Amino acid sequence: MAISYLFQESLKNILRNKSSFFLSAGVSAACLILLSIFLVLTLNISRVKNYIEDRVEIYAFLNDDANIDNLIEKIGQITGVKQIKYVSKDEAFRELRNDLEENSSLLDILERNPLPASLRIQLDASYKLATKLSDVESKVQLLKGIKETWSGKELLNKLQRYLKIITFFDIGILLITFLSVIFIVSRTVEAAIVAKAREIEIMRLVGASTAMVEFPFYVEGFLHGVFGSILSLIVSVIIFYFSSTEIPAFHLPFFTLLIFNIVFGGTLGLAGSYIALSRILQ
Amino acid sequence: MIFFEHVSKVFKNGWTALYDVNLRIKEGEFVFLVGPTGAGKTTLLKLIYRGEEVSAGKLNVLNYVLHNNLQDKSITELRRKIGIVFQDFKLLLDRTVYENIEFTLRVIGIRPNLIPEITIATLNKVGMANRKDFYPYQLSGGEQQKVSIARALAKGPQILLADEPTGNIDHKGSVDILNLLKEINYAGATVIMATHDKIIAESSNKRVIQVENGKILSDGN
Repeated sequence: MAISYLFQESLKNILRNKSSFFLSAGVSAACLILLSIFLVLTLNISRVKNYIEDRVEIYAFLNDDANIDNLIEKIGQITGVKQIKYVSKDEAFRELRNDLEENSSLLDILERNPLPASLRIQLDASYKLATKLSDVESKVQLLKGIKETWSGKELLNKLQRYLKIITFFDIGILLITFLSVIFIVSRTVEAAIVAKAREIEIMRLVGASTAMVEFPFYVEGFLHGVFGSILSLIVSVIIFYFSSTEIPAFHLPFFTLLIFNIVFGGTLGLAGSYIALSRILQ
Repeated sequence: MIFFEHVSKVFKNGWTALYDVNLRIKEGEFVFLVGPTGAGKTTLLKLIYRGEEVSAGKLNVLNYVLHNNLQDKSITELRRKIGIVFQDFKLLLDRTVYENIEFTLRVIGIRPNLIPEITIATLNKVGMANRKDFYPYQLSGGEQQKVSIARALAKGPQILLADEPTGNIDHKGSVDILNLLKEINYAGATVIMATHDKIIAESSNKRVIQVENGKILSDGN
């Protein structure tokens, strides 16, 4: 059997039921758009979190009379500490001057260097979680000679919490999309099967194989999903394009989104067809 | 070619459509199944093309053992060897005469380049080539039945089953259809025709099997 003929039959089916095809593809697209938005949001928050995690350090500011060698030794014994760097008052002042760039002349009005010397403590990868970071920081704080510490754990904590919430929404929307697309496609394909009941009956009576009878409906379901995906991708990209001007360092993983949408949409379309064919033809 | 051995068919609702049928139909025979509506003729034909499953007994058609579980593939193979003609023609109304035949050939996997030749040759056989571009609703009942026969013939069946093929046709049309079926039989196919019209059957000088209440009452010429 020529595959091209089967595809022609599938396209004829779709053209015969244009309105229901576009309607169901539109609803599928709406679900996929919502899913795409949340996925891109998740990816972006995850990227920011990873970026911050990569740069997580504990700044331990020292008293003027601190015994530096002793502190380095003691901090080095704390589990999770990977590396310790001493930054003198002068070095800290130089860094600040570099960071201020063209505004660095503001520092010239200072009569003395107000910055304290510090130890910058890098942690093992597994200790870059907000809770573990906090543990190490509190141990460092207790040491004699440490004036105060700073680690940015509050920001990391917030990001990790947002990521958890948004992942929860992702799963919810994924589930809703999954069920909606399968339901809509299966109903549309069922309607197409009913409309072709006589043709299917004749096909079976003359000896057409099951694959021959069912293939066009699988193609139809797949195209529903893929069409919905493409529609979703176009709308999502437009939304992200305009959002990206408002959000700094926004990242749009276009190819990931393209592949995800088509594979996910197509698979759901096939699943919808399978359900419809099982319900009606069996 | 076709063996029924103590075959019964009981439907899910408990209705016994056929009871203890014993029948043997040889290759090349022309057989009439005669009986009133509800006698079991259609069920008997359905068992032959596995439109229904046997409830009890043994049934063998073209060496396919139909009283056992049969795979989809075997049912498909069997049906490709059997042509079926129905009282209500079962033509696709949105396709022309040519397209109705072409459709059958395509769905059973005939090579596309052979389809036009086979289609026209089959339509010539039934005298409908000049109507190839007509839609079914533009044809008389007799002509529609000829197209239905052409569709059954196009795949070169070994058995042709005709279920009340003259039921919806006027007398002249019925005679034409009957003559056509005889020609098909003469060309080598086994023909089994179910009809409630005893006169048509008995005037044809062929084997007549009388079915009533799911049982075979008589079997002879």
